[in-house]
Parts: sequence; C-alpha cells; structure tokens
Amino acid sequence: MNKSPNKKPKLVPYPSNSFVTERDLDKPPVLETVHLGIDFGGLNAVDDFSILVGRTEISGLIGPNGAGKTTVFNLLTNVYQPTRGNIMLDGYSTAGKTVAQVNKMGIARTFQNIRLFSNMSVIENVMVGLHNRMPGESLLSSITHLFGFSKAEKEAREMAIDLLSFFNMQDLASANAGSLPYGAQRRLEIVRALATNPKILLLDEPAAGMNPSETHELMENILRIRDTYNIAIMLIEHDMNLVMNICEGICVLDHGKVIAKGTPDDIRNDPKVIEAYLGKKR
Amino acid sequence: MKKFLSFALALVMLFGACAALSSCGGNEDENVIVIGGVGPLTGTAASYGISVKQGATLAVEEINANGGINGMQIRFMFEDDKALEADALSAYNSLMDNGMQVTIGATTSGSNQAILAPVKEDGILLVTPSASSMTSIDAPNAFRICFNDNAQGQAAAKYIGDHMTDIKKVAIIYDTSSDYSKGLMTSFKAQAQADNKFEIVAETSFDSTAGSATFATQIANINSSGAELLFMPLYYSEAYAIISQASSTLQGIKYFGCDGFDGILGIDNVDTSLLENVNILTPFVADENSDFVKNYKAKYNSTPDQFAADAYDAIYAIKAAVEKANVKVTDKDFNAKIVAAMGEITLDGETGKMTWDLETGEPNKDPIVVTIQNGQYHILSE
Amino acid sequence: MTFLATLVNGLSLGSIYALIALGYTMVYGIAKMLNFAHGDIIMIGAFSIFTCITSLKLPAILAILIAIVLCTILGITIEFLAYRPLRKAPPLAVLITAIGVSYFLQNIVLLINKLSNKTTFVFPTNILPDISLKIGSGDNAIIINGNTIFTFIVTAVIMVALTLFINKTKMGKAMRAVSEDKETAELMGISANRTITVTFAIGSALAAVAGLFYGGTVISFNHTLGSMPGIKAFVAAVFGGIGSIPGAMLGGIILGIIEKMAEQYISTSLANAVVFGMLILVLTFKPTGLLGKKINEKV
Repeated sequence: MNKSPNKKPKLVPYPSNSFVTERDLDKPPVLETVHLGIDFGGLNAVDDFSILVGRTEISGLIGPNGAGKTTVFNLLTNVYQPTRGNIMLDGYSTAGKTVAQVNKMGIARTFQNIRLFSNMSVIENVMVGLHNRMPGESLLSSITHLFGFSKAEKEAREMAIDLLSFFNMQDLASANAGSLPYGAQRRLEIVRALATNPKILLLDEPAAGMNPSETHELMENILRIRDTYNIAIMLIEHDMNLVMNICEGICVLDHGKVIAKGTPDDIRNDPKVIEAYLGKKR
Repeated sequence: MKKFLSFALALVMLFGACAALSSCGGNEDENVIVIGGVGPLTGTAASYGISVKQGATLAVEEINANGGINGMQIRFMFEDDKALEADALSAYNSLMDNGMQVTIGATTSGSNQAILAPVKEDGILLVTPSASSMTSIDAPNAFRICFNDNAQGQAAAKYIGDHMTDIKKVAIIYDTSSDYSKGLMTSFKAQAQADNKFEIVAETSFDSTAGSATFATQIANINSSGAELLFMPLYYSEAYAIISQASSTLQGIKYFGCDGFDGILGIDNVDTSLLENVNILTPFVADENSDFVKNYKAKYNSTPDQFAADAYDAIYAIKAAVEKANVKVTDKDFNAKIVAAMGEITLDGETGKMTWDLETGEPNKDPIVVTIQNGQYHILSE
Repeated sequence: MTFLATLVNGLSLGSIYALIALGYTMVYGIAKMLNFAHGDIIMIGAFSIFTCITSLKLPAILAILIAIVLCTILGITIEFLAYRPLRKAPPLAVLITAIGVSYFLQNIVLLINKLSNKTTFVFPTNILPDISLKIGSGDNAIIINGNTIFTFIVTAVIMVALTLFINKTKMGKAMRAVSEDKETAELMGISANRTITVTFAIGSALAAVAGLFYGGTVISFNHTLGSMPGIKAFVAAVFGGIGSIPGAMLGGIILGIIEKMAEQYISTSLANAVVFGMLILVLTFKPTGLLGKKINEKV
C-alpha cells in the first residue's frame, strides 16, 4: 500500500439534484428520502425515490395514473414498510416506527377518496386528530375524576373550534360528518389532519371533482395553511393549473421512478415529462 | 403318532385353559372373600359415592378385626363410575376380572341398572346401598338397603297427608333429566291422588343438564298457585339453589325433600337460616351417641350421611347372609345359598331394622322424617 | 301480576346479559374479532369472589374488587398472548383460538376444583345487603330481592358511565375511531394496540361484575357457569347490532325478557329454542341487527 501521508484526496463537485427555496435556506429540510423503494411481489412499485422538501415548501408530486404517487404517500406514512431506502422526518429516521408513531413525529395526510369517521360529528373528527396533543388522561383518572374529564374535553373542544374556524366551519361542529356536502368533507379532512400538528401535510388529490372556482379557492386555502401554520405541504394532483400555480418544487413520477425534479418552469419544458404526459395535460 | 400328539396337545391346551380360567378368577382361597362396588368418586354426585365407599370400608375393617365373615377376611375394592352407565359397566367388568365374589352394586340407580344384566348372568349376590329406581334391582340375586323411589314418594305423600293436616295445597318442582326425581314425583302424585288429603296446585320442572339455572319462573308460578308446601324430589345442591333463589318470594312456604337432600347442611357458605323447618324424609339420622357415628367421625373426620349408613348396612347384610348360609367361598353353591339366605335374615342396621322380600329384593323397614332447626336435624316422628 | 313478575325477572336477567354483551360488542367493533372466551371470564370472576369469601375469608367489597382486577388482567393477558399475534391472520384462525382459550379456561378451573374434590359450588348469598322490595299486596305481590335490585342499579350506572365514557372522553373517541376505520385512526396518531387493550380491559371488568350478579342469581355453579350466558349474550349482541354499544344494551335486556316470557308462557324447556329462534328471525329481516349500522367497505 503506497500511502503518501501528506497528500489530500482530490475532491470533485458532486452534483446534487435537490434544491430548496431561498426562504428555507437557513432551516433543515422537513422531509428527506434517500433511495426509497418498495416491491410488491416481483413488481417494482416505487424505485430510487429521493426527494428533499424544505421546511415551508409547497411541493408537488405528479405523474400519469398508476405512476406510484399514492404508494409514495403510503411509504411516507409507514403504511407500507419500505423494501429499500430511508425516510427522515426533521432529521429523524422513521424506519421501524408504527403508523401512529410516524404521525406523532409530524406527518399527516388526507385521502383521495375521503376517509372521515362518518359516524362521528364534525368536531369529534377534529378532536380525534387532537388525540396526541391533549394531556394523557388514563382510564383510572377518568374514573377518579368522574366529571373532571369534562375539563380536558372542554379544552379540546375549544382547540377544535379554533381549527374549524380556519375554514369557517365552526357552526357545523355538531353536524354528522357523513352528512356534509363533498367540498365540506374535504375541508374537514384537512382540518383533522392539521389537528395532529404535522410538520408536513400530505394532500392526496385535493382538487378532485372541483370546478375552476372551487379549485381557485383551494389554491388560496393551501397558501393560507402554509402561511398560517408554517408547515410544508406536499400534494398529489392531476390539475396542472393548480400545480403550476402554487407548487414551488415539483417531482414527476412515472412507473415508480422519478423522471424529473425542479421548478414549474423546469418541469413544463422537460421533454421527458412532456413525453410521459403527452396528450394528458388538462 | 400324529393323532396322539395332537390329542396330547389338545389336552395340554385344555388344562392350560382351565388353569388360565381359574387363575383369571384370581382367588379361590377359602380364607378370603372379595367384595366389590362401584360409585361416583368424581362428578356432581361424588359425595354419594365417597360416602358409600367410606361407610363400606368402615364395616369391612370392623368385621375383619373381629374375625371376618365366617372366618374369611374381606378384600374390598371400590371403583369410580362417575355416575355414568358406561363407566359403571366397565368398572364392574374390571372388578370381576379382579376376582369379585359378592358385590354392593352401584351407588346410583342408573349405574346399577347398567350392571344388572351381567350381575344376573354371573349370579353373584348384589346388595346395593342406594340405587333406588324401581327396576334397578330387577334380578333374583339383587337386593337393596334403601327405599325404592316409589316407596319414598308414597311415604312422603302419606306423611304429609297424615301428619301435616293443615297443608291443603302442595306444589312440586322436579328435574326432568333425573330418573330419581321423576320416579319420586310420579309415585308421590299417585299416592296423593289416591289419599286425597291435599291438592297438587302446581307442578313445575327444570332440566338440570342445561347448566346453572335461574328458577325465577318456576318460583313465580309456585308463588301464584298459593301452595303451602313445596315437594322437592331433588338432590341437595339444586334444592339449595332453589330455596335460596326463592327466599324473598316464597316466604312462609314449607319445603319437603327426600333422601336426595342429604348433605344440604354440608354446603360451603350454607345459610342455615334459609333451611329452617325444612322437612326431610330419610331412613337415617346421625345419632351422635351411636358407635357407628363415633367411629366414622374418628376415621373420616365428618359425620356419616345416609349413603354411608346404607353402605355400612350393606356389608353387614352380606355378612349376615353368608353366616346364615354357613358357607365358604369355595362352596360350589356359594352364590345360590347366600342369595336364598337373604330372605331369612333380619338386620338391625344403622338405617333401621330390616328384613328382605326374596321375590322383589326390597327391604321392609320404616322411614323417618326429620326437620332442620338451628342448622341441625331433629327427628319428628317415626 | 304474573306478567309483571316475569317482566322483572326478565329485566334482571337481561341486565346481566347486557353487561356481558357489551364486552362482545366492543371487542368486535374495535378489534374485529369474536372473543368466545368472554363468557368464561364471568366464570373466573364468580370463582374469584367465591374463593375470596369462602377460603380467604375476605370482606365482600374486597373480594369484588379483587375479582374485577383479576379479570381485567386476565382479559388483557389473553389479548396479548392469544389474539394479538393473530392480528393479520384470517378471521377463522382467531375464532378457533378464542374457542381454544375458552376450553383452556374451563379446564384449568376444573383441574383446580379437582383438588378440593368438589364439582358443584354454592355462591355465597350474603355478599349483598339483605334488602328486598315489595310491589303490590297479598297474593299478587311481587318481591324483588337484593341481588335483583343491585343488578338493576349497578347495570344502569355502568351503562350510563360507559355511554358517557365512549362519547365524552378522549379514549372513548379513540375507540370509536378505531372501530370505524382502524388504519385512518392510526394515521391520525392513535395507537390501535393501546385502544384494543383498553377495550379488553373494560369488557373483562364488566364480565367480572356480571359474574358477581349471575353467580348470585343461580347460586349453584361450576366451571361451566359462563357457557350458556356467554352464548346468549353473544346472541344478544348480534341481535342488537354487533359493534353497537347501545345495541348490546338493548339486545341483552330484550333477550332476557324474551327468555323469561317464553319460560312462563310457552314452556321452560322450549325457552332456549325460542330465544335462538328470535335471533334467526331478526337476522333474516334485518341482518345488521336492531341498531346495527350498514358497514361501508372502504377502498
């Protein structure tokens, strides 16, 4: 072994295809995945998914149907255990944690086809989200305090009303969640997810079934959420108008692999993206 | 040569077989008499089988200490049949394989009924202490110490009619799954209807095989019938359950039971105040001053019940019959002679002074009625 | 007045069935399994009280508390050892395991009882204060005994408390959320394991109380004490709508009344047939039970 003790190894620049918005430069990224992948049987559903999301970034995840976008969301929340790769939330690895623990770490989501607790009221749905933020009241103390639990209840209720008022839904508090109109249900899902105090909010096709004016309102709401709660948001969307307008960083998925990453302008002009989406732009 | 060889071999086989057969019998020693019995040592009726075994064992030890039966020492064996008929049969066969020569039969009616056929065939003397159903001694060589169900049912109805003259309305509750209970109920009813001294105003039932039961419905019916006395041809644990469950509803009613009630005072946590003035028709009451009771207590640390007394008497009855016939087990007509002798003996036993009817195998003796006061039995009348 | 007496008896028995049915329905709603060993927890509760009072000579209150604690621990342990490992197994495997646990419990107790050489036991009748209530007068009077009175009062209190608990506490909401959609509840940060443990704990505690009252009703008991009431309470839970707590309460009480009415007006031996027949009738016309909800398949 020929070792020249005084010779330093030559360093070469390593191109990183991760970037972050300027305003978040001084803060660590809220979410980072490295070579994330999962196989179902012999099928490579998601492969080599590496992404970085800034602390208050609005990030978009797009791609043709069946590209694996919802699978990515399931991986990020540990509903699926990854076959390969690593997820770091605020610098902490989520490997081996239960779904509930991952939520406590700071990641919450909504669903493509709404999954509210339709047998519970609007405010109860939100209060379920507040579960981990309320002081732990054990079974024993509920018994010994008898009506003392109503104090904890009251606090939780107030917090829930506060959250609902973000979308001006506080008057619907005692309505049955399943009886709300479609748009209200979607908003309730978001409020419930926000109740869990996430650092990053995953929205799965939030604009599905909306007309242009509703979509416009949604865009404003998303920006408002980010500005009010200072969190990052990642959304899966097919509505290019929405995506191009509010997303700061976009990741394009096709057949489980990242084919492009960048700003809306980068993506708009990327030939690989155009090819994947040919004719599918709405 | 071949013929001779085969003849010789056949003879050898024959002698071998004879030897094997007689050694299968086990005991042809003229100084030992083998007495066996079966009964429930486990299961819900275990207390009865255990009492029988203990009472018989006490008698066997006494007799052996005093020279045995006609000079023969008793070898006593008792097997568990769990009060199940199949088990009784296999226990009986196992005892026979072990050389049993006389038997005290089975403790429960069903089991005794089950072994009756082989007993009849084997011709050995059977004296059951406690099998009480009518047909369970239907064999010329079978006898019993206790009253049969009919006799008990009849005696109960007669007693109530003759001695409890203020009782005009009687209710019955019985167990549809028990031969004992049904038998007693039927003979009670028949006698009551014949004597016509009181009216049966309610007849309720339950199925004890259906698990722990609530008797609220039956109790309500008994209550609304206005009955003054409840006849309970049942075993003591169900009887106690009913009496407890009825304690707030059926106030002032008189309870009347038969020999199945024996053991009711021995229940854990028994609330004897609930059993105040309960009347029981019984052939045996433990007299603290009798030798039998004293010796039983000393040996087993508990008071003997009627089953123990019956079994004690059964062994002594066998002794009396063998001594009357003056035979040893090696006598070639041993079985026939001692069976015949049963018709000639009188036994002054713990359960009364009795003789036997050779035709039916039934004992002739008088029953006793006791009442419970302050948690103790008191004899009411003879 | 016989009608009234039968009604009272039916309500009393029905309250006990309701207590047991609650355990079945909660476990089904939240853990999506039928815990057929539940009935035998009642038996353990009854034996605990019996042993504490008879052999250990402890005061009644202490005996009851010990029984409740013991049954709660037992329920949680069974869940942890026998059911949790089978969370992802096909439902049939879990069902068979539950039946196995049931046999196991019964036979353990049977073995222990063999040591005392007894097979039938008499439940202590002096646990509850000796009070009684008389309604009406003369021949038509109905007398309600202490055991029945306490059964009513305690069961009513428990039902109110449980309803408040389910609707107004954090854990109660968590239980309802897991019951409706376990995966989503977990995604909102609720630990399904903890919730299921609490469910089994509550169900088992209720079973202990049911053991106290049922033991006091039948008085004569053995290791099979829990079998029949277990099956009937399961029927009651299904009858009222499996997974629905008010359904279990309603189903239990109605079942008790039907059973006693059938005993009185049809026949004591046919009462069970009538009860099970009612189940078949209800399920034919309303398969989700009286208060059952339509289950929406989540995609």
